[in-house]
Amino acid sequence: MKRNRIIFLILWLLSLAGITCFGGPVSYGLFWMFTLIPAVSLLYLLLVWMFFRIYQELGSKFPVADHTVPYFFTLVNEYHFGYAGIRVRLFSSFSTITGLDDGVEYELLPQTGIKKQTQIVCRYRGEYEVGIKRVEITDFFRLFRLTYNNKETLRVTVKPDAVALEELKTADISRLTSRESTQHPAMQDVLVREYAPGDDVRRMNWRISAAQGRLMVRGETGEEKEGIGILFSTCRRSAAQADYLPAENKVLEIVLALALFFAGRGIPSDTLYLAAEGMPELPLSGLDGFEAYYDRIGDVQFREEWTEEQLVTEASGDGRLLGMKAVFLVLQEWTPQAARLVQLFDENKVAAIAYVVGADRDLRCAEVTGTDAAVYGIPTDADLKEVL
Amino acid sequence: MIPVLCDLLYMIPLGALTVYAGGLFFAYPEQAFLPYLCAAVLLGITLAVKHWDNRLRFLIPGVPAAMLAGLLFIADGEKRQAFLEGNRWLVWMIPAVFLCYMAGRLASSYPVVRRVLFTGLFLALMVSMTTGLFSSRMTVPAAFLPMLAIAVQEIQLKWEKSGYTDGRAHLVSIAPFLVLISVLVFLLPAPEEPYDWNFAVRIWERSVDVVKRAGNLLHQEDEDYEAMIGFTDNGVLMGNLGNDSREMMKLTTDRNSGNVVYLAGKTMDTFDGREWTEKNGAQASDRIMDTLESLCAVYSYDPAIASDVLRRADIGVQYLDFRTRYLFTPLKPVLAVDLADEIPYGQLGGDLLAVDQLRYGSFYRIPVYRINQDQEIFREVVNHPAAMDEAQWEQTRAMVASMLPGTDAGERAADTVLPGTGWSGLPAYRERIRSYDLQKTEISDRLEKYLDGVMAGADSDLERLERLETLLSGFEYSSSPGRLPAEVRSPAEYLDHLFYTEQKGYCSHFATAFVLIARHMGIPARYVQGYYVRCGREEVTLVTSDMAHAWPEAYLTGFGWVPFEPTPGMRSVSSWEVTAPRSGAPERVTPDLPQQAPAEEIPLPEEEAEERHPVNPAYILVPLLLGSLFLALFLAVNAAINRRNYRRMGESGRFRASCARNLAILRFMGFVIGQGETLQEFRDRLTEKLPEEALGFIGCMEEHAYAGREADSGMRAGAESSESALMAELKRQKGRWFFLYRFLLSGRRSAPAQSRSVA
Repeated sequence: MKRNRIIFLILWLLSLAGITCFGGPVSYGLFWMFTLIPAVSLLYLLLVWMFFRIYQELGSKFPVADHTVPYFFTLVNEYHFGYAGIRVRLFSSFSTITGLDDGVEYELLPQTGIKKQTQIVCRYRGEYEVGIKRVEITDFFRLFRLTYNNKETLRVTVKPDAVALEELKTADISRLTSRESTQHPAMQDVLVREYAPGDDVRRMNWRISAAQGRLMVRGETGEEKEGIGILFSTCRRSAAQADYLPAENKVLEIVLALALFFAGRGIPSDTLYLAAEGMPELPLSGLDGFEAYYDRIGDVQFREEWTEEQLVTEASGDGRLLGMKAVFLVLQEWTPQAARLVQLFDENKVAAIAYVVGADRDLRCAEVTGTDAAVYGIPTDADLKEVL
Repeated sequence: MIPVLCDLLYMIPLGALTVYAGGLFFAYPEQAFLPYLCAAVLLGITLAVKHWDNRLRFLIPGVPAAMLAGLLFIADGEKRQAFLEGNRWLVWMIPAVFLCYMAGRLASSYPVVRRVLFTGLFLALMVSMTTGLFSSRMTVPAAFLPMLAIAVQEIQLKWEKSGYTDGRAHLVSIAPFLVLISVLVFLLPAPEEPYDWNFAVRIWERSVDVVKRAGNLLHQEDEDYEAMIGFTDNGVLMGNLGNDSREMMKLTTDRNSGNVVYLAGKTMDTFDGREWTEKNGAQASDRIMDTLESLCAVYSYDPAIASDVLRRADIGVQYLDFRTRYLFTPLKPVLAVDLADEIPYGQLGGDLLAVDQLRYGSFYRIPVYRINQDQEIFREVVNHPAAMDEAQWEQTRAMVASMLPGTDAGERAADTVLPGTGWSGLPAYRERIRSYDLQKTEISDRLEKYLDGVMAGADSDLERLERLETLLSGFEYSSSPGRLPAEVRSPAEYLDHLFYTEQKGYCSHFATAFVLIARHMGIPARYVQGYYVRCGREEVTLVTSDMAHAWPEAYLTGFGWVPFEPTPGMRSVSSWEVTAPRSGAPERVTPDLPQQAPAEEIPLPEEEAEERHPVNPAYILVPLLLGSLFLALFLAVNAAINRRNYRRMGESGRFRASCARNLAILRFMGFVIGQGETLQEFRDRLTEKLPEEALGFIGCMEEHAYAGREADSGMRAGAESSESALMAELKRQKGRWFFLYRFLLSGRRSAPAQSRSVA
């Protein structure tokens, strides 16, 4: 194109010299021709811009992140003259289209179309544009190239991926699921105390009560805690899609992976997060309910005002989490408030494992030293099967 | 269609060029369109022969050729010769058009041919441009179209793309834009003269002026600016002249303007020994009064000699980089209330001042009167002035007023365009001259004695002034005489310094001396600053700052102001030949011319009555017969070939040929398989419109084409049965035109090529 422009410019300047030295139809004709060529080329580009059509289609209405989905697009020339050079540029920030080179230039004759069938992988959960982003059209003299944004982009709502973990390296599952079964039932419990009005009679240890002649209730750790809690952040930390999409995607991925893992092992879990209605709870007891749970998680919204501070504050005051065996926190920032929450869990004998999305894998948090809690950094591009 | 259109894109303009070129060497008939029509027909025939997929296409050239051959055969030898001699272009046209066809065909397909063609056309255009030969408004766009097409195809060749990249299809699809360029080139103007670039020059000059004015802002009240431009509105006699040469104005003159023009800007009337100032602040129309007085003096003397004493010239003044309000004009201008460019101005002490500073490009055009000062007749008028009266004055005024644009002749118009110039204003005008320009001027006794000697014997003011002019012009010219000594403080001291001490100077010094001495002699005189412009043969002369000049003007009673040139080396003779016969001169006797006898009438020959020759019927019958014979023979041969080919075909070939004919019949009926449509879909679409018998072949065609089933005699018979049904349907549809379709189908009897056998 550069070469064509240089040649054209030289010819135009020569035509100027022509009309300066000679009159008549030839010299003026050459001048007019070289002057009209760019004007007509631009007119051509304008007409192509007006009449060029792109039709795009995705093979799935709600694609899942990191899953391949069929993708079709058709470049159509509905007008009466040919389109000399059409190039399409694809969205690449959050999706990848396989098997298609976006450096290819197409030519379309009048009333023809080119259909391309390929596959697309949406990398993150969320709502964003995929497919053809920009169109570049070139005139037939290859003097000008007009680039414009695709007027009819393809907007998709991508669901998060549910990763099936085979193991959970970051937590001791046995601790989370087993009872203290080695102790003889008659032996003094580590934690036995006298019955106080209001205690649950099911916790009464009748043998010790009979032995001691007064009502004693069990205080054994582990048996009074039930279920797994998953607390995750729904804070949108940036207005830029490039920042918040990966993080939010990873947060939900972790949540789903954990829920799926525990559901697969029959361990009930409760998922809490900040939402418009407060702090809803999503219980999941088994795989049967996972589909509904997945849909709910997929529809979770992230907002700037639902900060992690607010989440931690709400969680601190919420007794549901303190009654759980373990709580998995999925955060986007490790804050002092989060550390205090973890310490609170630890004080109440609730195992706490925190995942900080966006942090480095070698994240070290001094606040949890000496406790049973653990904090892990999860980069946004990490493979959960490796890091969890 | 695409190959046809692509060929046409080359052939049509090449054909037009060929026909035009032929016109330069062969005599074309009076109807100029005939050669083009003939070329179009020949091209059409060649295209049909090439692109029509039917053996009958050979009839198109064959039948006319047979008829033409018959005509030539039976024609009388002399007549044949005469016809060929008179229509050589026709003989030339056929091979030329065929060559165009070949060039177009090859150019659309082969890059080498395209490049050769492009080079040839380009060289032809260059030759035409430089020599001016063989170019016309039509042929140039016709040459451009194939060149543009070649450029597009070459670009396409090197362009890596995907999709529909066939070069010819690409060219055809964007051809409308190439045609648009050619049409616009045809419609846009193409003067014979090279382009003048005036507007570009004006833009450049305007830009330069803006830059200079921006720079001039730094020299608001700078003396250097006046030194730069040479003109100043103060009369200080500066020490040494600068040698800057800035472009100030453009002066447009005509052939009556003479070879020197004195553009007066500022006049001054009072000298104190060191500088000139102006005390005359009268806002009166003194410049035009001077013009009127001179004209009236001449007309009063003798109207017949008016043009010998005063000659009208038209000058135009355009300001360039010149920050001033002064309007520069020669002596004796004809000025209207508003100048031609509607520059509002006023008069102050005889000077013309625009209301606002004049800007770059300000222009005015005015008539002026030039004095034939070096001719004897001028001296006669001045030395023996006739008495003016009011009638003559007003008549002169009306005449001058009529010169101005947009006025009618008449006194009322004169009052409008020349206010304040009536007869009643003349005494006041003369009084002002006496008051300001005839101030008492003392000189030293020594100088007076010297001048008495110079002027001895001079019997008129004019002669005295001329002697004074000669005296001063004998001094030495110096551009650096140095500043006036501090002790020079009066006109007398100045004159003594010039005459006895310095004895050299430049224009200002000598003009000052002239004015002072003239006043001492009782002749009103004034000091003028402006520009001295030598006009060459060109109409437009650039006035530069180094043309700045000062000169004296003296008022001669009864005539008006007259300029003089006392500066050494600057005097030039500017006069023209006296033409009018002088009163008192003997009359010219013109000899009687002999009477011419009336021309005899020459009788015209009587027109001979035209002989009408009856047309020989053989000229019609023989060609028709030959044409018909050719047609019949061709059809017979065609049928024989079809039958032979059909016999040689196997069942499969016959089946495919029959299917191809059936599809052709369906096309004639308007049923065409759509793009991407399967045969079954095509059949389903036609089921309601055509009988089942006519469509039966489609099923077999499907099996043969898609399933690869080998055609047998049953399938062939089915296809032929469908053909009969379709022909019946076609006949029903087309009625009396059925024979034409059958005729066309006869050209498709043989089996089509394998690649075109189905759909």
